[in-house]
Amino acid sequence: MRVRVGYSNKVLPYILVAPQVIITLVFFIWPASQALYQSVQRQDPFGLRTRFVGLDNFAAILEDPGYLNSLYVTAIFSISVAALALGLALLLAVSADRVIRGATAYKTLLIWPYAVAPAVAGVLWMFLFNPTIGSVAFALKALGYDWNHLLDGNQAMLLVVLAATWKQISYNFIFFLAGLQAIPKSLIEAAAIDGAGRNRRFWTIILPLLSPTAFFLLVVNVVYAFFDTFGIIHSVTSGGPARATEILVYKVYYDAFEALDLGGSAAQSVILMAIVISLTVVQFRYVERRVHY
Amino acid sequence: MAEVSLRGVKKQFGATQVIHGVDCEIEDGEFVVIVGPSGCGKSTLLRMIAGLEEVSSGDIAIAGKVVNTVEPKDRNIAMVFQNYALYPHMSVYENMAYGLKIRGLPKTEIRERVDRAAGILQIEALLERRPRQLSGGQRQRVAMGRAIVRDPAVFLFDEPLSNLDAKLRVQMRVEIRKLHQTLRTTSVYVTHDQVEAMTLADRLIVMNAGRVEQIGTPITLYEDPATLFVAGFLGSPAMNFLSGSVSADGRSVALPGGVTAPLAATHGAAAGRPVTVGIRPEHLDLAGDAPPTATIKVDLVELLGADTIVHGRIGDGGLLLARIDGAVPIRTGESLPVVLAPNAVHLFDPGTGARI
Ligand SMILES: Nc1ncnc2c1ncn2[C@@H]1O[C@H](COP(=O)(O)OP(=O)(O)OP(=O)(O)O)[C@@H](O)[C@H]1O
Ligand SMILES: [Mg+2]
Repeated sequence: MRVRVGYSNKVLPYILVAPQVIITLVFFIWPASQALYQSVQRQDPFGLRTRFVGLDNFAAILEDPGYLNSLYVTAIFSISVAALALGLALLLAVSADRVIRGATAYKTLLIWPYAVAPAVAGVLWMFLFNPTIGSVAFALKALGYDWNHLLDGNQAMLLVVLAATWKQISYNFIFFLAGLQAIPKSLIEAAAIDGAGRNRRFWTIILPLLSPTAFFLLVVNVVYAFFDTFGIIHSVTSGGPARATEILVYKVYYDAFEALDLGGSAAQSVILMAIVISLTVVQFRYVERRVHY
Repeated sequence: MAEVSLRGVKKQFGATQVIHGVDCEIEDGEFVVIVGPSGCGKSTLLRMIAGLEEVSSGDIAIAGKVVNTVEPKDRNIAMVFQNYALYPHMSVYENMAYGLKIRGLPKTEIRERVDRAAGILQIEALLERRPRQLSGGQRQRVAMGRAIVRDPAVFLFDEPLSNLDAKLRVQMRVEIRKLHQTLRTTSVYVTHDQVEAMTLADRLIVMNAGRVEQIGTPITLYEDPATLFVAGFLGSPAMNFLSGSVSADGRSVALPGGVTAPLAATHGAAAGRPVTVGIRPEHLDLAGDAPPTATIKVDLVELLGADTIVHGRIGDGGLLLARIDGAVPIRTGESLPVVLAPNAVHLFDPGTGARI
């Protein structure tokens, strides 16, 4: 016989889940449906008249070379940020784990960037690399390297990737460090006695045991690179030069508020939403299978 | 196969000294058990032999070669951990094969060796499972399997049975002993369970607070404990300790309650001195028709079936346990006449704890 645990009161369960449902409705379902609605409308430049245009907005976007460029830029940017932020954070966490006693100061320093708002982080990096007043740009010039991210698209991309990575590393670091410390020391010792050197222990024992953490962080980092980096792009490059750093989320903003193409922007955000949802689904379906819990 | 020597081995963690100089020669093929209370440094000593902790001073040699600075993997040892330390993301087979793979053995030989070890430990049916799908006893077997496939020179065990229930513990104890009889690999086994220690060991090392109290066969240690600590640590129920004083002629000892117990040898040097007298509960017997050595005032009786434990007193403060063979009808409050063989009386210096 199965024992069923339940509430005798019929209303209470609904009251208990209500806050969550309301939050989802107000902050996700409602704006998302607004975006969907807007994406099939077109407004005149003064916002006086709106008419239904079906999928015209989508068709226009997909033919727009600017949009395709933005897709490409986003792919480069997101892959670089996720890979760098995860890789570097793991490296730092492994180093910290080895010297964990002296690591308190080290940890604190590493966690600071996370407390910095994206826009502030962006401004910080922008000043460091500013071609005329930035100290790093100055140092690079002294070394004979001409730094000007206001003119060079690749340098601009490098800069926003660096800034976005720097901002995310601390978050990843904390999770990786916690994950590392949850691995029983005796496992590592057993592997050492079994003959595994430091590198082999890392690849065959530590990394597999860290894979749930790494998978979770992968999802978080991809979402971060797609959305939360808006502030950095906005403050450092504003998508330039010549759209070299115009990622999708920035283009959504730009087309809506600068170009005032509300319908087109809404259609873009619908596509963006679809991309992130499908990426997350792919991650859960295919990557998670290789994760050892 | 190899002998293990410890020469003046000391260990400090920062400023605290944990091991105060251990000397010991473990012979090839011997099964040595390190036993002592919690925190006395047993694990630390074992981990130094394994190479998981550095030696602060002194030498550890395996097979005649000093290994102080040798990596664990190059010491040709295998260790069984208390929490098993199985790799959770690998199957039982992979767990056992891991060390062999690293050593670059051909696949067929790995298969052969793992199958042989699995056969010895009767875990053939579990090879494809993950550790979390195993019971505690099965995990324990896998951990031992992982150690024996490598065919190391020395086995190190750190309380391998303490996570098992009492019944399984007894069973695994017997199996470890049998395994050693088959493989004859030098083994060092750490436990705080004195029954485990007594039954498994060829030789026992009794440790207390980072020092070796005594090394010897279980019977030697039981019959001839060198110190008060060893005497009290081995044997169950524990040895009775009474304060007494040796008579002027050194041939008997006065116990509380006016009891006088004869001694097997003359202790001239200790004549007239206060001593701590140790008497094992199992060496007290019902007097029957013989003249009693003492009369015990019975406080409590525990009937265990095979034997009867009597808690009682002689005089004031002379608390005493007696273990009588068989189920004997003794009642609380009764006065029980008992006899004591002179050679079963141990005398210790109350100050140093050394045997007199
Ligand atoms: N890494 C360490 N740093 C500092 N002190 C330690 C360390 N490891 C052990 N100690 C100390 O060394 C002493 C001996 O510890 P050890 O683990 O060897 O005891 P043990 O005899 O194995 O005890 P148990 O039976 O409880 O396992 C303890 O007092 C412990 O606090
Ligand atoms: Mg221990």
